[in-house]
Amino acid sequence: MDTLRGRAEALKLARLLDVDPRDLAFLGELPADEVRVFRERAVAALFDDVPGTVDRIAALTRLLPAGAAAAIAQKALGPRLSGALAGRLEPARAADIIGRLPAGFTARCCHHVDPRRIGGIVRRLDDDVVVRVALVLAARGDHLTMGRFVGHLPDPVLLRVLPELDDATLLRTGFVADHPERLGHVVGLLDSERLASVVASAADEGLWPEAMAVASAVDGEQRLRIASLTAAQPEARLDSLVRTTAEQDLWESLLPIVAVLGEDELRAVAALPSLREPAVLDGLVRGVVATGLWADFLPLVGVLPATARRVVATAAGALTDAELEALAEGVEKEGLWELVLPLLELTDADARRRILALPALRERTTG
Amino acid sequence: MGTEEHALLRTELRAPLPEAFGSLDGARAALLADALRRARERRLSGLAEAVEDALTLVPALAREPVGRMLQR
Repeated sequence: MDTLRGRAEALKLARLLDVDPRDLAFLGELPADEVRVFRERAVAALFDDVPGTVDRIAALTRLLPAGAAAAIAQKALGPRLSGALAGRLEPARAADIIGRLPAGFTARCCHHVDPRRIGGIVRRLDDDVVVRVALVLAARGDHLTMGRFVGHLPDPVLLRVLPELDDATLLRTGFVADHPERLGHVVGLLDSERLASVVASAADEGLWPEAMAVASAVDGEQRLRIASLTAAQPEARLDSLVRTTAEQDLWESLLPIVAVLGEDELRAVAALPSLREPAVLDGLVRGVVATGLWADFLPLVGVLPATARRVVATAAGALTDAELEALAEGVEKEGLWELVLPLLELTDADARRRILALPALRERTTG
Repeated sequence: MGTEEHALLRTELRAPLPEAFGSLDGARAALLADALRRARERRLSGLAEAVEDALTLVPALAREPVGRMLQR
């Protein structure tokens, strides 16, 4: 999850600073939460630095009728200055003026509004205005700006906007949403047919990372819905999910989603062609070692075909002593020895000797 | 977190750096500081330009006093 959140944070910071996202790819090495904190401080550093001229124009704007202020904004001030002004006015006054502007102009202003002021303004806007602006942003493919807004949209707006957005837009916007904690609620507003369509589009349009980021951001019932609809996809689509995960080393995102599946769904995943390939399984084992997601991984191993289980056992047997120690600690902590012991039968003699010599296992067998 | 580049990044951020940013090497800290500085300069110059453009729409006779009022 952190890898994908890190990517999204780097994208958002790149947009804020107007630099090529590839130049900030190194931020993926830092914890996503700290990159988010940095971005929030950068927002303050940029948007708190407002020329006095802008505040004086804001003061003059307060003296004008909202209709006149809207006309001046559109004809004279332009999107950059109008967006900056919206962030300096009282939210109710800003909303009053925005309500009189064409949606196309407002959409061009959105990127220039102080992100910290968006919620207060959106809450005071008429639903019709928000719907029109959201659709213009979608048509412009401005997912990053939509991501700033989506967490602030009320249900009546979401219920009108969501059916109008294509699946790829939903995924791309969800990926960069500024308030991912709201995504569970948004997903809950999609019926199963639409959600299945979004999952299919993730496969068909190469957007599995975006879909995994959304699924990782939601929990409980909505994560289960996404996971089940994903497991019900045709084998080729599901296989592309595993291959994408392997190529980009996203096991930390996929495994917690797989972990909520029922046994039959788990078997459908376990039967995928990609999960018989040694390179994929080896990467999977290493991903689990790195993330400690043993509780999410071992139930899947239990339903893998025998040949795949043997590959997993071989990969586990090839781990270093330190990695095996980490495995043992994780398994002990989660109480998962029952799922590990059958794998021992499949390892070669040397690996079995090393594993049985692990202090955690020795204590267990002697205790 | 003690390099000159990190100090520069803190200055541009106008706030303490999140802890993990201390692990960035100097070149990356400098890149971020430069990006922040440029973003601020672009934003401020873009706003100043927008104000100048708006003033061109004010009738010529009133332009100078209005401009003075906004700049004071």
